[in-house]
This record gives sequence, C-alpha cells and structure tokens, in this order.
Amino acid sequence: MSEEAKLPQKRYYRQRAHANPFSDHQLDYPVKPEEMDWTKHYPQYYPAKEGQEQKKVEFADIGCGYGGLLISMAKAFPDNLMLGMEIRTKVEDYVYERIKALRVQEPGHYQNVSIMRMNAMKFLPNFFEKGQLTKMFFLFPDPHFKQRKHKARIISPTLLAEYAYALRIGGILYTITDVKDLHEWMVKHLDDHPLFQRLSDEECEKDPAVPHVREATEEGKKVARNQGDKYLACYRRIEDPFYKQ
Amino acid sequence: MSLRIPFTTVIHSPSKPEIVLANGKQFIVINTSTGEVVKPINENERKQEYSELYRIMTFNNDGSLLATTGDDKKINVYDTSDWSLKLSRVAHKRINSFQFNHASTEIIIADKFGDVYAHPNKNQEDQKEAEKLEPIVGHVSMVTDMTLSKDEKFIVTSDRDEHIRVSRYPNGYNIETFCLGHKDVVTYIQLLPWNEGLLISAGGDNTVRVWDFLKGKEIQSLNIKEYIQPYMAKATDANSEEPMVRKLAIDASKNLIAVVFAKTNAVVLLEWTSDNTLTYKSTLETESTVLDATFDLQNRLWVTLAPTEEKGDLLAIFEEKNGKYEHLSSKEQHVKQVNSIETGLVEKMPDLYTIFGLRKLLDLPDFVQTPPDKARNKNKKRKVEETK
Repeated sequence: MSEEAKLPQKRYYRQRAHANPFSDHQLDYPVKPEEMDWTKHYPQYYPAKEGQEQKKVEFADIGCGYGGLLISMAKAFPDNLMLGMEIRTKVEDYVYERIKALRVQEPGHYQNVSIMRMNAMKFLPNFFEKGQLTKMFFLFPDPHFKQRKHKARIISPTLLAEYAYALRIGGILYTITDVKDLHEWMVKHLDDHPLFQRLSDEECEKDPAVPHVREATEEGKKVARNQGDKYLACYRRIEDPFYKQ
Repeated sequence: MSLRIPFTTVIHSPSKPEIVLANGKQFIVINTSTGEVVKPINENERKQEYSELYRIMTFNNDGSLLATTGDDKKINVYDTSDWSLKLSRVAHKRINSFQFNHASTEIIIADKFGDVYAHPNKNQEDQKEAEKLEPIVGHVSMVTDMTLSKDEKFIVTSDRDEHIRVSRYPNGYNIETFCLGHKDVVTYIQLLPWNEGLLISAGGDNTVRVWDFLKGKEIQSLNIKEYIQPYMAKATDANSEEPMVRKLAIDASKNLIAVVFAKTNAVVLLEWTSDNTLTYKSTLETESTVLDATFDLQNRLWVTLAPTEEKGDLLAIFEEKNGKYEHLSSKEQHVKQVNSIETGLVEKMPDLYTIFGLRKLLDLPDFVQTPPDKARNKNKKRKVEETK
C-alpha cells in the first residue's frame, strides 16, 4: 500500500484535551466566506461542474476531535458536504491524514468530508454565509468546569446568536455530553434562546444523524466502555418569535 | 516637576458651541466661539495620580445631557446647562463605547468583555438591579465600538477580531448580517450623517471603509497609509509599526472626515464628494503627536496634543481659508487663550497610546511539536506576512 493510503496512528497525534479558545493560535482564515478557497478541501466539488449548482458545506462538526462522526456520516450522507473544525493542531493533522488515506483507499468516497484547523468560537462568520448550514454538531464539548471559564464553553448566549446566523431556518443543532452539569447548562441556554426550539425525544429518535451522534465518536465509545450516561439534546433553528405580535 | 495632563479625549456638543475635554480625573468645558472656560478644573484637585476617569464621553441627541465613563466603570450623567451631576451608575466591566438612545431613556453600552447592555437612564436602585441586566449582544472578543441605526431597529458592533456585526435591536440575539473586509482590529464605526444607511469604519489595517451595513456590503475601501506614514512616531514594538486609527471626526455640514491616528504628528482630512465617494483632501501637520480631534459649529477643527516639551501647546486649531485647512498660529488670541487653561498635573506621564495593544502581534503561541513522518508546511500567520 502506498505511503499516502496508510491510515495514521493515533498515538503520534495525541494532544491535551483543553485548548484556550481565546488566545490567537496562528490560524488561517478568509476575510469573508466569498473569499474562501474550498478547492483544497473538496476538489471533486469545487469548482462546480458545468450545469451544476455549486454545493456548499452544510454540516459542521464543531470541535470534531479525531473525526469519528464525520467519517461515519460521510458515507451515510454522500450528497452533503461536511466540515470538521478542530483547534488542536495534532488532532487536526490526524483527521487530515485519515481523510487523505481513506480517499485513496476508497475512490469516489470521502470526497464530501474535510477538516480545518479553526477557532469556531471566533471565526465562524468568516467561513459560512447566513443560513448556509443545515446541521451543526457539538459532541462531547470541553466542559470548562470552573465558573470563571464558563464564557469559554462552546454553547453560550453569545455564541448561540452566531450559530443561529449560520444555521438555516429548520436546520438542526445537536449536542451530546456525558457530563450532566454541562448538559443542563447547554439545555438551559438553548431553551432560553428565542431562535432555537427543542426537538422531542421522538423527533430525535427519527433523525438519521442521531445514531452517529451517539455512537460514532471516540469520546462516545469511551463513555460506552465506561458505562457512562450520554445526554442528548437536539434543537431546531426557528424564525424569530419577536415579530409575532 | 509636575507635567500638565493633556486632553486625551475631546467631544463637541451637538447644539451649543462647547467642547468637553477629558483631563485625567476631571474634565474641562470650553466655549468654542469665545475660547472662554465654561467649566474649569477644580483647583484643589489639580495634582493627581493619573487615572482616566473620562476616557469616553457622549452627548444625547439634543445636547442636554453628557454621559462619561472611564477606568472606574462608573457611568456619570451630567446636566449640560450647569454641569451638575444628575446620576451615576456602575457597569459590569469597563466600557469601550456607549450612546444614549434617541429618547434619552437608555444608555446603551458595549464593554471590554464583549457584551452590550441597555442601562436605564436613572440612578441604580441597588446592586441587585445592576446584576439583573442581561446582555443584548455578545461578542467572543472585545467590542471596540458600537452604534445604533437611525431607526434604532439595528445595532452595529465592531470587535478586535476584525468583525463588524449588525444585529436586530433590541432582539440582539438575531444577527442580521456581518460587514466583513477589515484585516485588523476595527476601532471606530459611525453612521454617515449625510446618509444614515451607510456606515464608515476604520482601525488597524490602513483603510477607511464605507458599507451599506444592512446588506453587509462594502461600498468603498480607501487606503490611507501613504497620507499618514511620514508622520508616524517611531515604533516601540510590533504592534505600533503600522498606523492605527483612533477615531473619525465628522463635520456633517461640510462632508468632511478627519482621521485621527495614534501617535502621529498629523491628522488626515478626507471628503465625501458629490459623486458619493470618499477621497483624500489633505494632511494637517501638528507640532506634537495627536490625541483626539473634533469639529466645532464653525467648521474649525480642534486637535488635542501630547507635547514632549513642558510649555508645548495642548490644543491646535485649524480653520478653513480659501478651501484649505490651515493651522492657526499659536500666537493668535484664541489659541493662546485655550492653551493657557489650567489643567491637572501629574508627576509621571503614563502611556497615552495603549490603543496599539489592540493588535495581537505580540501574542504569538509557543512552537508546536510536530509528529514523525510530517511533510506538510505549517500555516504561516496571515498578519505577520502582511506587515512584512
């Protein structure tokens, strides 16, 4: 098997779980979404072939870790472009190498998935146009346990406005964690945000992405091995109720 | 040896010929027509331990009230007819920008933490009342400036990460659009008084930009580096190598914009021409570095200075003569009068140009170790590449 097609080994890509999202990590980002060059990420889709509409990224995995969700969703949703964002260099390198190898091992597959080293807390609007995304994933996010670190949590009132901006009306935001306290925090903030409405348990179970959310990630598998609980919460992006008066 | 504290911030009343000059722990009011002092420094408090208690000031729309805030997080509101203190409130964090709403019932503030709050324009009942205020808009990074739209249905906020965000108001959780284009911190945003559907912005990337902000569309980007470069003070670190705009002083009656930079011996004048374009007009040289500037009701430009000599002028006045702006001589009655005003005194002058710190060039992370078999190039930092 060629050098390119060998799957990377996780042990060379370990990095500590916590990264400070407020410091500036030497990131590359476009000034605005129109200036982003997606050809390096999705060479089969950018530029669009003649007569075909340009497909854009619709699924975003925020803090995608070792890419478990994306790899498993890539085949389940072959017609959708999906992107993982990860701030930790080594982890992002691992996923990049993994996707590269899979594209060689299985020609025609995994062309719809890619990864980027990015601070989603700060630069989401630089990459995605208003209402571009139809799914956003926040799987096993960093709990930032201390009170003073609560602003660093990936789900916060400040950030929900930005997520609501990127998410199309009707789009779904998925959260899962094994930390009950964090689950309650996320649910409270999402419930409080007027642009999000929680899906019922039945609606969650019917959603085809949910089994991937539960099972596909490395973190999810670890929790299952330790027989921990997984708390799932899904929300739909709705129209602003402010104007319904 | 005591040094005179310069006027770090200056603001002109929208209705009366008066300017308010921030001076450490106090402020001074001068009549811009006569040059007389309306509200002097308190004699007993001249000698100070420096503290910028009037770092930011704003009038309400008819000029009857002045709100001030500074290092102590207090929001003070003064009655401008007699300069008496009407009320005082405390904000959560230090404020970077604020304004009254049109009805003067609220003071909307944007703080260093990135949050925007609407404070009622009345005394705080108790500490609990202050804590109950919920943020209307939140940025992850520091909010540098803010403005409401004319109809108060939208709020525009700029931040340290080059973003200009347009949100609905008061439902600030609903983002309308972004105005993206700046390549460095945005320090100043304002609605153009002659066309309030347009927003003007500036900061650390050498451009002044005009936007149709409701559409998030950039109308024009004017590069102003060449006009100010020769007048820049020597850089003390990576953050102060490139020009940094502090403020845009706008004269609505003449369609003029004075660009105030940090630590430069000049102010750049731009004009908005009849074909709706921003163009360079001239550069006004000063004898020492500029702190702030504002136009008065007679279209004169008042510029506050940070002199290096003890007897240097703290104020320079520019007046239009035959279509050009000229520096009024220091010997002119008017100029002499305002420069002999008693100011606060301090033993050691603090750094008056901390605004350069809004750039992030000094916060580079440590070298990251690469795993074996790595052949990929590391991403280079965009900003370092650009300034080289």
